[in-house]
Amino acid sequence: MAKILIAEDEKALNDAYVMILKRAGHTVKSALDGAEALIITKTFEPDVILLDLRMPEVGGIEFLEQYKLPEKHPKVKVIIFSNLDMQREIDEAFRLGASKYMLKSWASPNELIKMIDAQLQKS
Amino acid sequence: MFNFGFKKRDNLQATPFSPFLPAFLVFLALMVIIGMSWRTAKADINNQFNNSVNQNAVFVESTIRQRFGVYENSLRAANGLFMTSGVSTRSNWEKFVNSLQLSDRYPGIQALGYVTLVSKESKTALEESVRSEGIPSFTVFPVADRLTYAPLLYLVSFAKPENPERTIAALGFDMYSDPSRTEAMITSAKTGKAVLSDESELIRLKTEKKEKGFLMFFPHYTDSMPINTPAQRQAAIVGYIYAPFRSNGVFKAIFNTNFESFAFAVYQGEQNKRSQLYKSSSNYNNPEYVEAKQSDVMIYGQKWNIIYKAKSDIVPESVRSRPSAVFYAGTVFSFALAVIIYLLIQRRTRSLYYSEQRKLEEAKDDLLSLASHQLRTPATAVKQYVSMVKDGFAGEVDDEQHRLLQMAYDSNERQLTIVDDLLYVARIDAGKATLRKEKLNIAELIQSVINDQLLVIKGRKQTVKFRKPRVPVMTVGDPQYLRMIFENLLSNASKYSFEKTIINIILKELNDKIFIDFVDNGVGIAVKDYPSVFFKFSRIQNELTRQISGSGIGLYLAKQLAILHGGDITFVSEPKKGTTFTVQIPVQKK
Repeated sequence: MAKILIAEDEKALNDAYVMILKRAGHTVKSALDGAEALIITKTFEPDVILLDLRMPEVGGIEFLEQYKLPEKHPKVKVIIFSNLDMQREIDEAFRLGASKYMLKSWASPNELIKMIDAQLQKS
Repeated sequence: MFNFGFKKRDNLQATPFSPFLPAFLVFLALMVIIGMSWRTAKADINNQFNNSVNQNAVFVESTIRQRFGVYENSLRAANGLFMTSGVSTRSNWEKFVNSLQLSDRYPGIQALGYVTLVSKESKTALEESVRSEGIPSFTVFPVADRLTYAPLLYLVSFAKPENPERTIAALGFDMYSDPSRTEAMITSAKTGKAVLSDESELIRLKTEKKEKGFLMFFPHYTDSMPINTPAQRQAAIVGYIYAPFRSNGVFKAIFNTNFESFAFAVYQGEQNKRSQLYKSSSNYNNPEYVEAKQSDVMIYGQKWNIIYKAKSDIVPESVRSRPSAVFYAGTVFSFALAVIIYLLIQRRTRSLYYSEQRKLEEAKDDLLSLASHQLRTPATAVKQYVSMVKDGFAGEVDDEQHRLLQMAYDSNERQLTIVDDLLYVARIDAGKATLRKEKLNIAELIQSVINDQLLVIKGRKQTVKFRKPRVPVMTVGDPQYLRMIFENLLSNASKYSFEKTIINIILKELNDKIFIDFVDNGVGIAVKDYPSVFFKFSRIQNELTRQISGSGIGLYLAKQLAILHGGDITFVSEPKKGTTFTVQIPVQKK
């Protein structure tokens, strides 16, 4: 199964996604903001990152800027998983290497699992 | 109407700051400067005009003085001759005068003569003496009874020298017979200086035309008497050397040049009874010539008044045309500059205005996005946890528990849908909805919508039939928005139909337009409700409404999205029989 990093500042959602994905058999690590996620990535190279956009201190865009996805982690798939559909930020995330955008409120647990599987199959 | 407090873009009526006033002020300021330059240029013309007139006037005056100075010198020279050799003989006089070559060198002088003074007693002796010289006709004339006579004794005439009779006829003319000559002679005798007479008639043969002129007298005193005071001089006077001048002729000879755009006239006497001695040309009376200056010239006891006139073109054309050039070029320049400033300010304020507008629009959109983000997040958590419980994350759930959880889940889904719909509506109303177009196979898109809803539709025991052309129907559009239109129409068709009915979807392409009919056999729409079908938040009451959830946004949104694609949604309906909604969108290649 795959290694997944979740960056989500809403504790309730973070917990839920961890539970759902662990139950689906994945290795899951989670961070409550972008800064914590950056620290985790120093020792943990995930297959998929589930990245929220709006997070305190270091948001999703800032995370991508510092993570340097295309240059340093070309095999990592980043799914922008946010309830914010601000086109400007979504475009920016794609420019920084994200491969998918999904509105959080649209994804039920099953849909989330399916979406991650689809991303894994692409690689 | 619900509009989130934002106006549509079209309604933003605030206009940018008008650049008219600043441009007009610049124009005005420039015109003031041009007005001042125009005045300076005008003043330049006047100055140049006066300068030219003054220069000419100085020339005229000095030329007159110089020439009469020469004539005076000639008279003085003759006096000198008499002083050294006594009053000479007639032939000496002629030799002397001819040697001066006056008429050649200083034309204008008519003659040079000597007038002797003779008492009543000596008059006859003089007449006899002159007759004996070979001038038998000599007599002092006109006849008058006086103590003293002043007959013309010697005369060399420069005018018509081929006609010596004229000279002989003039000899003997008594100068005292003419008051103006007399006055000039007496003044000359008293002062010991050359004096010019007032204008008078010159001596002419009776056959000749009368002619006006004036004379210059220079006194000749006897050696034997003192001449220190006027009285002594009057006592010592014995005769006068004199020269006559034709008024017109002398000046004409002096001023043999033509003045351009300039004329003058010489007057003698006081203002009220003055007479014109000379005018430089007929231009003097030309109304184009305006009086520019006058001056009084005191010359040998005479006060001559000279009036100078000039025409405007005495000032060079380049100077005269300057004011109008300044005015026209300046006005054109100012106007052009004002227009440029107007356009610059207009562009600047417009771009500022529109960038402000854009920032405002972006801020609004950001606000909408953030608001919906906040609304979605808690509901998303509910969605996850209800799902997890329902899916057995927390242990087995029985059917009843599952049913209740499903109801909670559906209700939460509705809330999420409403948030999405509100966001779309707000964006469309704010003119912020933009299409992300891509090439689409419409039939595939509709099929996918059908597949998504098939479970729900089957739950109502309804059947969907989809008819489509054999060739793929392709267009360019926003897949997400078109999907929303089809989802809405299909879900409505199902919701407002009874169980065990058929929903027909018919896709056609005709004249570059795509038509998709959603035909149901449902409750239909009452005629009175037609107008509100596409209203925001309108939910039409019918026998099924109460069983159906909805926000009343769907049809409004669908119609707006169709319009955004250049198309529309229309419907026909019959209560209790069913409704057909038709989506029409143009086929787009790009």
